[in-house]
Amino acid sequence: MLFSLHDRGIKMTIMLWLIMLTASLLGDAPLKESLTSMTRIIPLLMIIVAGNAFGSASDPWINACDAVMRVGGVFVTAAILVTICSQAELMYFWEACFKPLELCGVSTREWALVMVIAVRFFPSILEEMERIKTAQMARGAKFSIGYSWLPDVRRFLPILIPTLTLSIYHASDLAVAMQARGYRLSGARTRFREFRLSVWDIFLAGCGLAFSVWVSVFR
Amino acid sequence: MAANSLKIERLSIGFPDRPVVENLTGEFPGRLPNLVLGRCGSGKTTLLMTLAGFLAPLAGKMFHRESEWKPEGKTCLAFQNPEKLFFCPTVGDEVTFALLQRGNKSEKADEDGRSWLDRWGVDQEKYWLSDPFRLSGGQKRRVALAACTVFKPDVILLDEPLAGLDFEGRRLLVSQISSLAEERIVVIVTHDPEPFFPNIGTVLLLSNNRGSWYEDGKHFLRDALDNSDIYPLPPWYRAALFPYLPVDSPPSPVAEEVARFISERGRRV
Repeated sequence: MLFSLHDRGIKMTIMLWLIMLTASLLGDAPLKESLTSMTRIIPLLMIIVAGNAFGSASDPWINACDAVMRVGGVFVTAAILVTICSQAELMYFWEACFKPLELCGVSTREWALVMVIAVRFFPSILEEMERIKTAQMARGAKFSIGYSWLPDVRRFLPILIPTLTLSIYHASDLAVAMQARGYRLSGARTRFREFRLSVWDIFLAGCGLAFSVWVSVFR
Repeated sequence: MAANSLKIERLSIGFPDRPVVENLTGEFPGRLPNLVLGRCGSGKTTLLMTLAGFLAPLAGKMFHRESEWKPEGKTCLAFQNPEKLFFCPTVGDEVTFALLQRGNKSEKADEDGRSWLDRWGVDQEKYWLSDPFRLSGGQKRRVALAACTVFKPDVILLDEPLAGLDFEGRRLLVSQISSLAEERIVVIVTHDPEPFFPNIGTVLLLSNNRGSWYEDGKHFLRDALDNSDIYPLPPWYRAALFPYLPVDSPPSPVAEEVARFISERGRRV
């Protein structure tokens, strides 16, 4: 979340990357696989670069690098989270994040479910994207980078449209499957596993909070 | 070596730390569709990817028309459910995409695309401007395969082309693929080989990191009937031919051929 929300520029993004990499290395997270999987979002990153590099900001290329690193950071963090956490843990995490919104009458459990499903689907969608790219290349589609951005972005339509279509179909199938198993948006839920905070959880949450305060206050 | 054939010599495929198939030597001739069979994970799709040039072989060489095989621009690879690749608003745009990408002029691409679509059994007059997403399942598959093969490559690689089609759709597609194979080399990966059997060329069976080659369908069926561990033929077919085993020249696993075989040999129980 810090990757997308902070407003302190590329230096902060680099720092967040360093913190994430250090934490992943210390925690024996499968960092190599997560970083390698970033190659699959190259088309998306190119669109982001194209959108930022030609803006009216004073340092468009630095802005573009910052934007790419932010999206990459969100992507890699999500990949690491998905790898090291169980589905139930992820669900619990998102529910806790959305808990304050219950005061406004928002159904946090449904939001949490949407987040868990979105994060879980990410790797399979990327795998599908890779397959679509190979198949379109066999038809003659070219995805190389040229000098002009607009035609190059359009070249990715043979990947982007089938991927989007497939994602919608996947989502629709999943919704039908969940309804068929009796899932409804309304209705009380029970929890099979009760999560309890340990001292370490409180310590790390405190560190995270302190860091967020530092980012927001000492600009 | 047959004149129009894709020959592979001591080919090893897969990943450097995990070869999937090793030391594969054989030949896929033209004129009839060739089948690649095997269980899930036996390396069928990896072989297609290697033949198409998307994966480098770990070892070995491939030859086409007596020179080393360079797949760039001369092969088409259609994965399972190729209709998932649709991204254009009309059937015509979808079919001509590959031709335009290869530098053909719009009029020429249009003309070639229309005649190619007709060849795949899709009425181009009727469907050229249709939305490809709104076609029936069988039509979508034929349009998708027409779009993949419209540049008329020397080698056509198809991964599960019949998956999810009804009986009529399969029958039409098998006849179109067979007609395509008369001029080109067609290699088909499938878990569902029966509809192809009356007219097939080489059969390659992949298992345990090795490949077994059969020069035609009859040889493959004979061995598979003798030893059920080789390949799980349909139970009805095995049961119908059981009283006649061993059979030198077995019929294809198609009801009409089996019925003819039994009536010629006389009914045995």
